[in-house]
Amino acid sequence: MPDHEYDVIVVGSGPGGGIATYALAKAGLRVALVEAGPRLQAGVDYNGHHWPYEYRDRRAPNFWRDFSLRGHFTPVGDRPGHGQIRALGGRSVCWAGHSLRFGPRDFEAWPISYDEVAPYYSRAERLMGVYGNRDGLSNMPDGEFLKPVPMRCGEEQLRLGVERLRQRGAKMAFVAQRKAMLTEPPNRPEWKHRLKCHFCGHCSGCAVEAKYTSANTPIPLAEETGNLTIFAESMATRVRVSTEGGRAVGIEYKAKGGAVRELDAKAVVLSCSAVETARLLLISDIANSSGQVGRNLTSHFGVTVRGFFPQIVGRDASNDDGTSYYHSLLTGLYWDRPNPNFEGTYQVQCGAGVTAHRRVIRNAPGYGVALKRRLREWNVGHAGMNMQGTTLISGNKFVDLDPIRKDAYGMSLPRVHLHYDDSDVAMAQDMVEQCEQIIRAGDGEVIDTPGTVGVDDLVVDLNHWVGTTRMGTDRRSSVVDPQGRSHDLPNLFVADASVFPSYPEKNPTLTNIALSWRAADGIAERFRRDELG
Amino acid sequence: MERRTLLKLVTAGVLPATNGLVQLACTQGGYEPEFFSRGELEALDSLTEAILPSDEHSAGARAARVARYIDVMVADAAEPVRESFRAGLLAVAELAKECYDRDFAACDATQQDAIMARMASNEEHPASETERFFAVLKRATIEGYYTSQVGIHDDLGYTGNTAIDEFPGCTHGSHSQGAAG
Repeated sequence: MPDHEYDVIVVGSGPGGGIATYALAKAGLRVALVEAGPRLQAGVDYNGHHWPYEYRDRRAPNFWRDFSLRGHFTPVGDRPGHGQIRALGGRSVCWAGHSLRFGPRDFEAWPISYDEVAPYYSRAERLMGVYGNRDGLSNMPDGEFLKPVPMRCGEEQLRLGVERLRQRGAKMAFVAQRKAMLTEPPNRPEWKHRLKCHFCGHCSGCAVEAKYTSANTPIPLAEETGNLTIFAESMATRVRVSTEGGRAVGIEYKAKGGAVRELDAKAVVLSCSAVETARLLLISDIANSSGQVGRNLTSHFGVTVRGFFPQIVGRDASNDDGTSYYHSLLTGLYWDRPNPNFEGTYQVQCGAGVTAHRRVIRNAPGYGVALKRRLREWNVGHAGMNMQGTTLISGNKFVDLDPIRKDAYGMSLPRVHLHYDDSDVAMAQDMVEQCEQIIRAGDGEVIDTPGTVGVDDLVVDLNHWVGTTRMGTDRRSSVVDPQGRSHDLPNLFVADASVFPSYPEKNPTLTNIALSWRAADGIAERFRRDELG
Repeated sequence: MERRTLLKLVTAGVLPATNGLVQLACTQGGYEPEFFSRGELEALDSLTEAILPSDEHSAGARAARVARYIDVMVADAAEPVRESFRAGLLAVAELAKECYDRDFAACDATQQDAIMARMASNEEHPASETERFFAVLKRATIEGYYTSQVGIHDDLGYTGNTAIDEFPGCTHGSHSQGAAG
């Protein structure tokens, strides 16, 4: 028997579900937010400023390590990972905050244009509080930025290298990173639960809520409307449909302790992440007349190259923490003219300096005084370049259900299939060569590089999966329409990064939030027009 | 490698002899090892100090009590890890016996360096038991040292992990001209 009836059930409280909940509750709709994990309290359940030597195993608390779910999927192929946080706020609680707008060219293969999404980017940036520099780039538009955070010396050396290569005609740009963190006092009413950043570097699990999360901004604001009921520690196990199968009528979930319950609603929004949203649809056996649920899977992947700049070892390296390691970004590669050796492009997130709680340089050849000096100098004087390229969308990458393994809720585990294509390897090889060139042009030496790239060198970003319920206008080749609505069930929606029909090199979350907000506005509009009542 | 060859390499300056004074004193105080024997702990103390020694910049692995860290870590580890440390220390002891007819901890600085050089001689492609152990031991030593107060504060000079009002970043303003300060 259903417990209650709601206008909308939102499943999952990460970046997409959090903003959808906020927009729907603000529109006056009665919302049930269903989240598998518990409510965590920043500064109580997790906090920063620990030292490794305070702990027997030298492992100071780390949000990502302590709260992420491990082994909750079956990997197939080239070492796919799947990052998951079960907590109110989902992955937004421990994200790095990188907030980059997709550019006009990135939307060319989409059924919606940059101009249609741009107002939502602005709204999202204003709500989140995003810092950045106005760089005037053609395909990574500037946003509504708070005060930027400067780079360290090692990153400035990379910028110097890029400048010199640009003078020789290279097409690239080196800019300050853009992150959803309050670098200015929280002087907007939406930020009343947050504090200004104090640059301690413990951003994964920010204890003072300087970093935007679903749990510190949209969800509490939605609660204050009086329209939101939160079902925490409640795992959605199935989307229920009407007997004739034409509509979603609610969900089934397992409450804490294992009791099976049902919720009824006029509309259902899935915001569980690209892997989990696909899994829930496949388990429910719905919304898949296209056969595309779980297909078109892509993520970011890459390799790391590090350089050393002997001229900066004498600098003051007493506190490089900032907003954690990556303060800069190499971008603008192959925007104008594609590389014939691979499809798509990549960006390179760059960082530098000493990070005591997560040292970057952990080894060097030799032993004795020379080793000790080298480890110190390399940590002080290095810069790290971490590639984020888009894996080629192909039949080699998809999500399906494990026919055997089940989770603690009795649900089939998702299988994540990842087999790199030749294009992927070629892209990583190009990145290695470009980065080595930049380091040398910046008067540095390359101290860490895969050299010739093989599949074994490639590391997938386990948090950036997208594409498994791609949006489109053709119901035969896509799962949802340009507003995130299922082609098959008129009151079922997807509000997360699963809907991306193609994927640029840029981080997904800001676009996920913008699109999910837009989808929620569309749902509210349908309620106003009485299409969902 | 013959004992004579090792000594020749050291006197010829090919291998470093940096430890200065022979350090025989047990610096473990009243520490009761959890996994290793007292003798093994003493060997670890000397070995870790040889990997990351005291120098004019900062104190080394001994002062940072890296041997104790490794003792705790190995005590908590699975059987294969425990086994690799036991076997590795035994192999080092045998090597020290073979070369100098004494325990590693009882060798003087020059002798310890010669043994360390031999353990480290094939770092890229370790083949012998002591060469393989060198990689394991070095990783643990680096981890223990740079997670200690000595490593973080004295050696790296790090004072972060705290609240500051603004992040200054690079203030040289000269990198873009190619003359970094």
